[in-house]
Amino acid sequence: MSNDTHIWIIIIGMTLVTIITRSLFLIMGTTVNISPTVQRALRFAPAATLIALILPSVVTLNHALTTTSINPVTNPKFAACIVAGVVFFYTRHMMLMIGVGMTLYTLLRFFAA
Amino acid sequence: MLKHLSSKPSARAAFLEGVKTMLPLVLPFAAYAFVTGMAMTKVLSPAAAIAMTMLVYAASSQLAALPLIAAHLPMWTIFFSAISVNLRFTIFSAAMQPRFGTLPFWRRLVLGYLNGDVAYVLFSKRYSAQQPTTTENSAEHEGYFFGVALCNWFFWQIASICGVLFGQQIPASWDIGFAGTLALLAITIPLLVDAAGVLAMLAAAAMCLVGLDWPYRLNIVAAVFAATIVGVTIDCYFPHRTGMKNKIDNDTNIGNK
Repeated sequence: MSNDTHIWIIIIGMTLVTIITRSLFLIMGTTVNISPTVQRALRFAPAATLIALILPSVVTLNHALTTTSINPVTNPKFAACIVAGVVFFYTRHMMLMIGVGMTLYTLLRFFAA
Repeated sequence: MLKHLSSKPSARAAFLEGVKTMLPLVLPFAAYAFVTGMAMTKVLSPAAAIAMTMLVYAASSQLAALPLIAAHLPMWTIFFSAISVNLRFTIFSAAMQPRFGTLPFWRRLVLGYLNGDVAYVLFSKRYSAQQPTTTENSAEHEGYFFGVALCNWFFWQIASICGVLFGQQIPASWDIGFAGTLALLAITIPLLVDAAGVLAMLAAAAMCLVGLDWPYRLNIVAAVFAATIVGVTIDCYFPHRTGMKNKIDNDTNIGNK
């Protein structure tokens, strides 16, 4: 099997896996019954997912959790996230928040270098 | 699908509302999509990278697959990794099922394909568990979902393809993908509305760091479980603190009838 065919099989396979995992309960349709208790329990899933996507990329340096990486003073990304988060909490203005976060991140890295 | 929705004014309005909600997020996520496209070209040919972004359309599992592909690991490890990284979407689909489980099969499949992080988070924020989908508002809810999800899909694809084609023009040291992280943070903050939610998120934060070195990014789904256990426990023992008391009482009454 050529390398090319191999890659295309991977892409098709990942497509099928992704569609099935993303729609699993939806494609089961009315054969399953999700109780109101379970539905309420599911309300924590979106924010937990976002935290799990954000945090590991922010509080690590070179994919490792160290005393340097969990200290905002020595980790520009973490510091920028905290400041941007506070800006967003008070202003609810997203472009301002991202502008502040990116600028701070860039400046801190510039001065650290 | 869109023809079906456009025949109802409420669905059309909800679709446009979804697009409007998504538009401010388009630019920062485009930066993230661009970086994802850029990363794929390090392992895949441009054609394969574009096909992957269009078909798979799941940045986290695409990025998780890249080192496995580069290392020539067996195919099943790549599919297993994709399942594991996508498990959170299966949890999302369980929340979607009571709303859209009666739609025609292929429309449920399209909803599933578009059921990514951003689309689902914004949808679940707009229509919480206290606002169930009924036959009357089904088209409206579906319209909002498609408004958010198609807007997200469209700009994500453009930016990701640009990343594949022109990624080398932008120095990696700029780290423009950080804008995507900040945008995720911006959609997380408004979700932390009650004590149960905040404590649940602390549990998620602890769990995703504990599982940092676990294979297949299993720490994501572990964080979801940790948050759910903590959140549900608080809902049960302190319902008056979380605004869930009335809801639980109502459900109990329905059960008694």
